[in-house]
Amino acid sequence: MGMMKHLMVRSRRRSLWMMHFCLGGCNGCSIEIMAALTPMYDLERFGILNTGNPKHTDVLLVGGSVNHRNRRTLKNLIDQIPAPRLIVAVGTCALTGGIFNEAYNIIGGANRVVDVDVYVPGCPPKPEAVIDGILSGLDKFEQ
Amino acid sequence: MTSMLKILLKNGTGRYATRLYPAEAREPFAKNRADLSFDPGCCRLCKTCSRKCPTGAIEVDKENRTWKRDVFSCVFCGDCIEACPKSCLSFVARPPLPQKHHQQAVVYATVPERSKK
Amino acid sequence: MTVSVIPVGPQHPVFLEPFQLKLVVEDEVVSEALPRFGYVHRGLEALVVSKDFRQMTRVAERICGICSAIHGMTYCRAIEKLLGITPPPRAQMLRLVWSELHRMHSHLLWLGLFAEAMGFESLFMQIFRIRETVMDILEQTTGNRVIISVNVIGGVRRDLDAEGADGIRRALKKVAGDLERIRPVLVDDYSVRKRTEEKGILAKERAYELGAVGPVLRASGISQDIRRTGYGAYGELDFEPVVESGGDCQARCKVRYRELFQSMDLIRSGLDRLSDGEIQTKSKEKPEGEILVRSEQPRGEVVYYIRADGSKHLQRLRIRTPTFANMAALMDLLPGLDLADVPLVTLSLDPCIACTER
Ligand code: SF4
Ligand code: SF4
Ligand code: SF4
Repeated sequence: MGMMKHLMVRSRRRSLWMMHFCLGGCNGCSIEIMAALTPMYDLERFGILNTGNPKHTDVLLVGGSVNHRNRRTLKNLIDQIPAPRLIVAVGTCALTGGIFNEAYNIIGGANRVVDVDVYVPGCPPKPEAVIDGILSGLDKFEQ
Repeated sequence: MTSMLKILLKNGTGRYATRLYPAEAREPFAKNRADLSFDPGCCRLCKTCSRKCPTGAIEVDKENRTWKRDVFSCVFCGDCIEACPKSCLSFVARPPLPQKHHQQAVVYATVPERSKK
Repeated sequence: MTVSVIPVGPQHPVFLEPFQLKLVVEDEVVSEALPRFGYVHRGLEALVVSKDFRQMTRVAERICGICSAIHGMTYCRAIEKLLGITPPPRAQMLRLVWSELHRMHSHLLWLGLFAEAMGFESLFMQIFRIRETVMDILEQTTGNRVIISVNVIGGVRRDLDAEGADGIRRALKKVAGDLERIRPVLVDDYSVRKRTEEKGILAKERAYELGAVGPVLRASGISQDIRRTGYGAYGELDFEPVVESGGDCQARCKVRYRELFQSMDLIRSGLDRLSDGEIQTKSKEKPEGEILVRSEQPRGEVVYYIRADGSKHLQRLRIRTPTFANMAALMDLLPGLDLADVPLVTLSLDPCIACTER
């Protein structure tokens, strides 16, 4: 039994599907997320596959800050993602709003709307940092 | 049709393109703007850095002699580095680590009292 | 005949960014398209009230990550004109080199996403693999991969040493070889041609009427390139705009593909003409007056309007971005298309929502 459980935990860690959603940032962060998916960095080595459907998603990468309009969209998306889910905020915008923090249409970082599990600082973070961020949050799938 | 196949065959037989990141980390370029380091020893608490910072990430408190930088607000632009008259700030080539809590994000330093000349 | 409304977006696998297209579909043919914006709107033009004009350089760079160097450069040029200073020639040339590298990374990104929109996953991966060479050289010479933050008012902040210049030359050689190899796939491949030819045709007159800019306009046969006005160091170099006459997705792809080579030529001759000397002109003045500045971005012409009253904060900053100008063309193209072609045609105009909404 213990063996089975161990196997299950291991396989769950190695078979996650991810989705990225870009909010009100400069989309520099979503470019870096794309770069982390492509051959040079290749998140698929860890079994992480890009998907476009929130219902299949285990890992959500959020780039950019929350504004008054996309707040609802983000909330909607999160509600469609089944638990356990890992939410990674990528980039300064998604952490605090960054340089746009004082703009009239910006509410702040992604943590204003959802419970973020891992914060990856950088503007934009290097793809290595994105990989680090995802990997450091994988413990969540071990329970 | 065959043109893509040729490229794929070449990729398949050629050198491995992927950087095996966490296993083999590449050396960051020397001039990377990835993180800041602060040397409390030379700071005069003049607040120039905090005035020039476009995000308001730096807070300097003259009374309590503290210097704070919110890593989560900083956009790593380097304006503070250029502004500092004492060159206390410099870039570090390695990026800051991902964190799990929002509160850990502050780099905090107490500037030592200097003897009056 | 059944009429239905299909919302595409705000989250859609093909688009990198959130925006919504409401498509009125009759059977499988689009009869009307209604865009819905605001998901990326930050209101950064209004930030001029809280940030001073030097800090605004950093904001201007972050309007859009894909053309950040050119946004920063245009903003700095506008302020420099108001201050009445000219950056030293070396700084001008370095700006040219970095903005052309940025153009390359943007076009490669676009080519990759275009391949993905076609459903050609392996080509997408291949192009992104080529793109990493450009990203690496940007990282090596400026310290960051996307937001390179080299422009400051009065010049550039990083110098390029001989090693960096050699690195750029070597990287360009590699990219040129790799791109040459994918040329047959982009231009001759049967399935690619089937997917892109005669799709989303924008006629020459119509493109002109709708005020399309950049590669979209050039793909429709109109030779217009703001770089030809000779701003910055572009005046010293000789080049012709890349023009195609098809007006369809294939033509737009070809324009961008050939512009990659044009950018490489510009960078090479820019590096050869790099003069020695200062890289920054310092000024303690505050900007005053009104100005309009244009530059050519990867996506077309960007216009900056600035009004300043001699204080630390600007009074007004207004930016007309190329993607915003191209939206009219997009809305004209979509009616009459098959539903399956909508993502491809939308992508062929290179919509960048962060630019459009600012
Ligand atoms: S964190 Fe920086 S790079 Fe990322 S979206 Fe925000 S401004 Fe752009
Ligand atoms: S790097 Fe830029 S954003 Fe960060 S603390 Fe310095 S001035 Fe502020
Ligand atoms: S770090 Fe430099 S600019 Fe900032 S308070 Fe200290 S001496 Fe002044």
